[in-house]
Amino acid sequence: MDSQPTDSQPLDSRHRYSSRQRTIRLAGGLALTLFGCVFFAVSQSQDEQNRGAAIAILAILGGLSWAGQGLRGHREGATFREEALPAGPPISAERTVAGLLAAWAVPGLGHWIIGRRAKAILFFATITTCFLLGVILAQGRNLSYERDSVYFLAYMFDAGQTALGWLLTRKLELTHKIPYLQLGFLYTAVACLLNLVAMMDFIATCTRNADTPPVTGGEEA
Amino acid sequence: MMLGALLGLVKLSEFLFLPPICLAIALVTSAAHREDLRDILRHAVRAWIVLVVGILLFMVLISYFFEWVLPG
Repeated sequence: MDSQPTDSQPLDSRHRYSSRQRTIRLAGGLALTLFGCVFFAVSQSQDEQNRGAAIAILAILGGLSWAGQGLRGHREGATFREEALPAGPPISAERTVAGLLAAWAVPGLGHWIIGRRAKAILFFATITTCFLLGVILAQGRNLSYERDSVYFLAYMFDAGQTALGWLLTRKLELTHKIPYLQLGFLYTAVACLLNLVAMMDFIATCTRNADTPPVTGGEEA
Repeated sequence: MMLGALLGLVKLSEFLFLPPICLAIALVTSAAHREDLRDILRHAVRAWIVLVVGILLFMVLISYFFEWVLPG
């Protein structure tokens, strides 16, 4: 693990943006942030429950991230870290597909299968906690496809937990006002979208390792 | 004083739910493309602080917009 790249390593000139690229990122990021603020304000004035707040917050976060890249003058770091990461033993296509399905069903299980145990535990603990907090805040009323089908666009990325939650809470009716129902939706939806990030990281790890020649000597650590 | 008044506009009950979700986002997005756990945690803490402070500032900005700019 000592040879792995960290944030403190100097940047290669390939990873730096030109002044035009920096300007585009900074302007685009600020525009996206502004859009998020306006969207939030409009949603707040039109809808008492402000159901568009989650989209506005995502736009603001994305905009800030892009503007930050423009200010710093280099990429987020993912790409150059990816290039410098040492590839492990190759992972077969079958294991990649099986791991992807496993990661879809249970957060972090894909990483566990290919031997990335620490990351698997991190993904599972974080995503499951966030998902459960959402269900608790909404008192189990946020997993109904009939009532809130639009949220299933996000829920579908965490199939196992959503299916289990739906099975356990499907008979609960919305009979009283739940104070933190919208926050419950937000937490659960964000947890499921974070599982998408974890799945993409799993694919990136498998792809990186697939490009390396086979190593004799058994399984990865 | 001004900042205190502005912060007072942001509902505390809404703000309390912000740090945990930001921590989850920071942890998972920091773990992507990183292998060293210490590196992940270091980046996640930094990202978490930036997220919470950034969103809080925007909450204050939006509250300011609604309370003073729109009515005026």
